[in-house]
Amino acid sequence: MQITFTQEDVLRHLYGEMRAAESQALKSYLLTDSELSEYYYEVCATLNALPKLDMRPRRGILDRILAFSEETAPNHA
Amino acid sequence: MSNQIISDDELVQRYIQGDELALKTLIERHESRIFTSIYLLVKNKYLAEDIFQETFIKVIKALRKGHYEESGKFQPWVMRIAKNLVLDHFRKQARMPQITDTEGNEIMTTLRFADESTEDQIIRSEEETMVKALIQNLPEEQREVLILRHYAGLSFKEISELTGQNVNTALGRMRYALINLRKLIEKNNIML
Repeated sequence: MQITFTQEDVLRHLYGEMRAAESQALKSYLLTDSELSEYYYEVCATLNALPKLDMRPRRGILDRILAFSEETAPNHA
Repeated sequence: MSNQIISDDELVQRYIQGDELALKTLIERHESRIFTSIYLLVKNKYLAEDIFQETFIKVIKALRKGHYEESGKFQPWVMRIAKNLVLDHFRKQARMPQITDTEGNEIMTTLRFADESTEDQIIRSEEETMVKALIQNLPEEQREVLILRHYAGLSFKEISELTGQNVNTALGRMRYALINLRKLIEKNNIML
């Protein structure tokens, strides 16, 4: 019986949430389903267009958290 | 020893035993994903910093009380605490009037940071513009799943546990988010 895949399966594959064998089966299936294959490339392009954000709080925020930890440590003098 | 080979759970144990550096390592390891996600959810850097700080204060208290029981899932656990604080904020906000300028913009979002360089401001402005254009106009439920999957790095299963929806719902919302994003990209003539 032919295994079929969905657009949600494509998302699981792209985000690495599929087992290797299942991913391999999906790749083979894409060769036989032009509609899903088109969706695959569209999603890849959309994901690539998302901004790569690496935002961090200001250093002072980390310092305040660490100070709180030290001041409230169980063995703090 | 490199931070990369010490697991989060090992660092948690070290911290509970009194190693303050372990906490610093944990925060630095996860701060980008957690902070970016909080920021995208609340759309305000000052507020995101407050929530980030409050999140880790709660993390510290919970760890000391032995409330961390989710082996191997430190980041989703922290993200759940952050998400609850974000929800608390919106609940409070719903009861409070907004302070806006004459054009209707929220005052806090238009403030600049005193210790931020001009270059930082330009970079941040470009990033914010892109994010607002691409993500902020999505329906709330779709935006949330997109942020938690793409920026927080949570799996669809972890998102389902965090939000109380099933995995297929999370996947469906992500699918619609990407469809709508694509429409937004095409509408704004952004090159892919």
